[in-house]
Amino acid sequence: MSVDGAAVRVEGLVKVFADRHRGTFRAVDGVSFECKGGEVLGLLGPNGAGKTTTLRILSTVLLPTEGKATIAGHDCVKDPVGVRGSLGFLSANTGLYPRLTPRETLAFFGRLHHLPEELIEARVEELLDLFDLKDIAGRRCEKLSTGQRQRVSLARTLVHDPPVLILDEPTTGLDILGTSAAMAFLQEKRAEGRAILFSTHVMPEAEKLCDRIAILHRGRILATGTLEGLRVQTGRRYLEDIFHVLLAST
Amino acid sequence: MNGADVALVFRREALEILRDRRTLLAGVLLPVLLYPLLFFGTERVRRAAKRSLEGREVAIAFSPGAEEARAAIEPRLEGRVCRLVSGSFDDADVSEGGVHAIVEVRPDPRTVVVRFRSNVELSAEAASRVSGAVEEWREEERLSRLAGAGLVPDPGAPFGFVSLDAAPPERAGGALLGRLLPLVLITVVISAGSFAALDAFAGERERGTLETLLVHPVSSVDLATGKYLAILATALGSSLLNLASLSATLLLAGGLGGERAGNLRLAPGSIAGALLLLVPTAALLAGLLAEVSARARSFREGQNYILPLVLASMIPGIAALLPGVVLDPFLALLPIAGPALALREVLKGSAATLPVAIAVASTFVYAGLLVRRVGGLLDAERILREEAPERATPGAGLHARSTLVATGGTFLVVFALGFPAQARDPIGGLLATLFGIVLPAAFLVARAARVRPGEAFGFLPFRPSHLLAGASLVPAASLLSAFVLAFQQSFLPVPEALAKEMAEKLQIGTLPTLVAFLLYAASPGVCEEMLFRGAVLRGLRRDLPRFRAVLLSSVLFAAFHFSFYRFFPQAALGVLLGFLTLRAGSLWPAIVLHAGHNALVLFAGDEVAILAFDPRFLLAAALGAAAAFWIVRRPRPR
Repeated sequence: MSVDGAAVRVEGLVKVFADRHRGTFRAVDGVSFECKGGEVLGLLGPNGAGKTTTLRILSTVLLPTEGKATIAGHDCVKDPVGVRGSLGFLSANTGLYPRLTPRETLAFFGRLHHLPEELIEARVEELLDLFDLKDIAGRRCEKLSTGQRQRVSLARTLVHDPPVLILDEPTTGLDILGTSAAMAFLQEKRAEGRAILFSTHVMPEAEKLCDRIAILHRGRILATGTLEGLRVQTGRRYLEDIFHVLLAST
Repeated sequence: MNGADVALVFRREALEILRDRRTLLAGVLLPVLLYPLLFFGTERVRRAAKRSLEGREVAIAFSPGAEEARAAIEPRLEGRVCRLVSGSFDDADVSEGGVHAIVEVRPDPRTVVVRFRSNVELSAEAASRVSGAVEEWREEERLSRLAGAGLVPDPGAPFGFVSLDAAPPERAGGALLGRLLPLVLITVVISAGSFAALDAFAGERERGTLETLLVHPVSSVDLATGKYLAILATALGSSLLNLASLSATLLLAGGLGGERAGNLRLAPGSIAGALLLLVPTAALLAGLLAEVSARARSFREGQNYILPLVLASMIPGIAALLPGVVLDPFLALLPIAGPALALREVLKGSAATLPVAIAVASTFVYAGLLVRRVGGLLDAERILREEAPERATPGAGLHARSTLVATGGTFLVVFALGFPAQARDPIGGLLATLFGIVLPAAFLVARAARVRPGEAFGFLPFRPSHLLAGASLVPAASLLSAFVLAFQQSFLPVPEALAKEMAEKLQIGTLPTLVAFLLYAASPGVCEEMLFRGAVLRGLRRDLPRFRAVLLSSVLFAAFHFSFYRFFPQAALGVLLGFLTLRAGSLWPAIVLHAGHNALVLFAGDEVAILAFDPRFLLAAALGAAAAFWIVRRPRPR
């Protein structure tokens, strides 16, 4: 599935958290970017940069204080149901229901998307195949390894075949094999024409996978561009150095 | 609301609950096995113990001069395994392996004495056998003397007396069950429901599945409703199993001729009535459990919240079941207490229709009000904000430590200077302690914890409604400390002399009312609140989660009164004051509540303790607490 034009469009996004004891806190402070179908955009930044909050606004679980965001043409504030139908979202530290099996898990989320039963059945088998989960499809999720669980979670994001994938630090907790499998998965989905937005603080991952990179710090975007463009802009070769130069210039 | 979505969420919750061993234990095994264990287990043990002792041989010694007694007693012990010996014995010979009872006869007046040791099982048994025989012997001799004197059998007895119970067996049994069953059912509903609730809400957050769930095209109201229904189904299912187990146990026990269970029977009408009352009560408790567990960030935090909820639900239940409390329309309105009393009356078969109907209807209304809130429980903005990434700052824990050290210093100063001053001059010393030590200490502790005074005390912005909130909590606070005190009395009674001495020292009764109020209510209200709910709680809160900060500050507050007997009531009061302050973001409600509570204890004294068990006071307290909760509800950040 693919979408024409910008699958994800974010303009002047602001999120202010109000805390009675600590005052207000601008977690996201005027962020704008776009991501087209068949493109991987990486949100790169240290902990607390505002990556997770931005992705949560896009996934409609949080409301923006200001600004506008659309996913596949659906407005995140005005049409959250449309957004959720077009989006596969993997939150950071995502979990699974411990006493459901992978097969039951995928079917449950398919039903939450109101897919017809025959389609769910076919899609679940297809995803179990794709993610090499056939052998463990009947085992409870609490008995699976971290890598197996992450595969179930990734499969879950695809159960309704969405044009946009938003993945918040999808490689956290994975070993080398798990990480490369996840990376291969992202490349494959890009080739299918999906728009992929993913956040990470692991620089080599971003270097390897992203078509474009947006660097976030304290709720603001310091720079957006291809890796090559950022190299030219900063005169540094490695992303880590690029990041430090951008940080120093603020 | 989308019924299919609710059903989908309900099915998944139910499936996971059924597959959870913990729920199975709390929701199925415990409620089902409770009665069989209770009736058959204890009955059996009792009988077995009795039988084994009855079958054992005991040695009974007759001292010189007790030959006549031996001749009279021996035939009356026929059929019991007894070994009779004659000779000189004393108390030292009574032991497990020696003789078990010594019978002697003293002259003038002729008295039969049985010596035994109650701490030796066989000796007690021997004494009981001999006593029975001696009683028989004496009665026979009395009757034969009367007959010898030509008198009617008993000229001393004016008339005979027999009492007959006209209640049918199932009603008599119902009265006994009525005392037990409401509490058992509340416990079963809560214990089974709480696992389901923790799993559905707090567990979902802990596992990281909640955010995933919220990004699906299902409304959060439907999600919460499905979860609520799963909790309710678990609670109801478990209590139905419990009722079925009770009926089966009673039937079996009746059939087997169990000594105590035999006359306990449940009329079919009582079972129907129990079900009618059970459904709304379970709906109400399930709503409470959902509310509580949705506020917890983890399973464990949820368990911390549920324990007070269990206690809070048991208290009205127990209060309603006290002897002498009769169900009237007014009492029927009380949540939990109303249906518990109604169930008791239904089981006794003496229920009036109107109060029972009111209890059922009002509980449905309360449950409905709670269920309306359920829809808002999965508010992502609130849930995700609580996980906001501003923890793990360097030097975490330092503020709490400085707070504790500074508070400890204050305690020392009060102990070294304040107490001697109060011993010399109770009134002047108290004022000096409060305004000369406690009040400055509030500022010093705030400084040590690096909390700005404005933030610590939260006097501004001033809201008149906060004063009202504090005042309307006074009955509930007094109730709380009265209950804690009453509970504490059962294992740690306050010596009366101490209470009297205290009252004399404070010169209560001799001071003008206004002076007494300012001295013992208003001044501690201001000074102690500024120290404990102001500086100490805010300082601890910088590093600790809400619950722990409140608990620790309450322990310090209770310890500050340097009285063993006042510790628990004060700590309970401190918890209430602490949560009130954090919720309101201001010290005003706590100051008014503290002063009001002290004034009530000061001027109403013991009457508060009596009032506390009056259902009308209970209702006033509940309404006041609800009003306060409503007034200081948190403003939604925009």
